[in-house]
Amino acid sequence: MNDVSMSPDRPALALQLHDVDVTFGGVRALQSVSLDVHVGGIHAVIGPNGAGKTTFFNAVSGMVRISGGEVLLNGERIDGWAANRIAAAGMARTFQNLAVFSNLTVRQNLLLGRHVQTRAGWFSAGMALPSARREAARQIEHVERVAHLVDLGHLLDSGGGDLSYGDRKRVEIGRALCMEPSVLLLDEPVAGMNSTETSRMAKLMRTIRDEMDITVLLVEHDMGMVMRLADHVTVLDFGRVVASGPPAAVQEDPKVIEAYLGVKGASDLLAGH
Amino acid sequence: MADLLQLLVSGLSLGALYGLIALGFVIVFKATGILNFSHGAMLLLGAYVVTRLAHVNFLLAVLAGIAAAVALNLLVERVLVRSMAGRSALAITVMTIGLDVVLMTYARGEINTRVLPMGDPWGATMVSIGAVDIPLSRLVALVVSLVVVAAFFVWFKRSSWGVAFRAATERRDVAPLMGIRLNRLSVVAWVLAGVLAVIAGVFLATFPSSGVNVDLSHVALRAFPAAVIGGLDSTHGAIVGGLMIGTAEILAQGYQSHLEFLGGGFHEVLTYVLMVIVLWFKPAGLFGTQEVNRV
Ligand SMILES: Nc1ncnc2c1ncn2[C@@H]1O[C@H](COP(=O)(O)OP(=O)(O)OP(=O)(O)O)[C@@H](O)[C@H]1O
Ligand SMILES: [Mg+2]
Repeated sequence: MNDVSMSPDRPALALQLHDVDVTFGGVRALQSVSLDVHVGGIHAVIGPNGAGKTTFFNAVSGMVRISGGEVLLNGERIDGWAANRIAAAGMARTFQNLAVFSNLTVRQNLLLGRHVQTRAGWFSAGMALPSARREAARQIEHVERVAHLVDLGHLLDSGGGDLSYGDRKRVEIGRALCMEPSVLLLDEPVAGMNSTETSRMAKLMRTIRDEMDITVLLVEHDMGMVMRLADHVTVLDFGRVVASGPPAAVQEDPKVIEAYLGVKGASDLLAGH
Repeated sequence: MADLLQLLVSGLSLGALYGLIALGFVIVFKATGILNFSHGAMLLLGAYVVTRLAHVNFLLAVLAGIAAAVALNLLVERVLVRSMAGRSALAITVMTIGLDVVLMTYARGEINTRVLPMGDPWGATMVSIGAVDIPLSRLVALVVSLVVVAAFFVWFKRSSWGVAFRAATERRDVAPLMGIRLNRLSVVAWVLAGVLAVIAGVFLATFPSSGVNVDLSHVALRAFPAAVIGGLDSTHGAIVGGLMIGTAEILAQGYQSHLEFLGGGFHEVLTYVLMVIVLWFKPAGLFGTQEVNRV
């Protein structure tokens, strides 16, 4: 792992939440959630169903307004920003309920991720200017590199709507990687995948962390995967942080076991069996 | 045979104009989810501005008409759409109906019962191509529409805009996360709609039409079924739908005497008959992905 905390020009914290609240009507989906995500690791967010994990992602990516608190991305306050501005500032995400554009091809889905990185801008891209054409060629090249990284090289011309579940998950990750984010939020990336696909995904996540210099936030129910991959684990329950720390410590925390009580075989689940 | 050819050319020419109008509907719908029912009134006001200035210079008058409609559309976009951000598209759609009433009241006050000649350089000139006699204005309308449509599609396909528009149409909540600015898409859509409407408006009021009167906005509303037939979220569907309706309308008019059994004025309702037939088999229109009832 790169020792990014040593570089003087980057803050050591990729994402910070201070007392963040999110309410839906009467439901308090997040209640004074505070959290520091260090640069350059895999930070897992776990918790039972309905704990507020997806809401946490929605809040930091600008899809849902927070009703209190602060969110900082690389040291800069981003709460209240429009989602497109947060994306441009270096945050990318995938969705628990898939959000691949079904009326676009895989290539076009990935190209959309390049928007935030397109320097020629929207206007000149349509003209036949040589600079715009070079730019377009560069973007296509980038998209193809990412497609191979996420095992989609052979599907670039397929329609987003014609893909299998696992392929769609990979399109989302590829699209997010195309944005060259500093922080990547993955909402249950291996849900519904078979074991081969799951281990490939785990390998990909390590590559993302170690070689691409991206801080990964991971929501995942597969506890074995969380315990093996994560450098840090935060546990949410009923919209509150009940524990946060290294995987081994969190696993033994009585509050965590309590949060999972009622879930059959809670301690087995947490042990990752 | 010559009759049929003549009718076909006229029909395609009218259809291409309907296509331009329908394209404006569709782009705004794709970018914002709004059905803009003030589109016809914008077209009328733009064409009206052209008639007022045509004596100076026709081309400049057209540019001024386009500028007027674009300025109005930008105002609508800013006041109605932006300030309503977060409200349902349906609420704003209903407000465009209100806006249409306001604009039409103003237009009626200005135009009254008059028919204002377009003042175009083509007048009633006829050209003969083989055995077919056709008004020059119809040919120019056809050529201009085709050039405008071609330019639009080159831009839409070559630039990243087309992909962004499609993404925003499918998932308005997700598209911004790729850095897409919905506000910019919206502005561009309303500007384009204004430009397309006035170009169509000018040619709808040239020969054989005698000029601009308040009914021009009703003519424009006939392009709405064209957009529905093609699919409300399909740009090429708008053009196909427009060509279908224009051709059908002119053919029905031309062969009216053979269609007496369907009642006089059948060509006026034909559009809607076509729309119902298409929706019966394809609820999202020929090329659309969203059913009208989901709007
Ligand atoms: N848009 C919304 N409107 C109303 N309530 C919502 C909304 N989104 C989430 N909630 C509520 O907020 C709470 C947290 O939901 P959330 O989806 O964040 O849970 P989660 O931890 O992601 O669960 P899961 O593991 O099932 O994905 C739930 O009670 C949910 O019903
Ligand atoms: Mg969730």
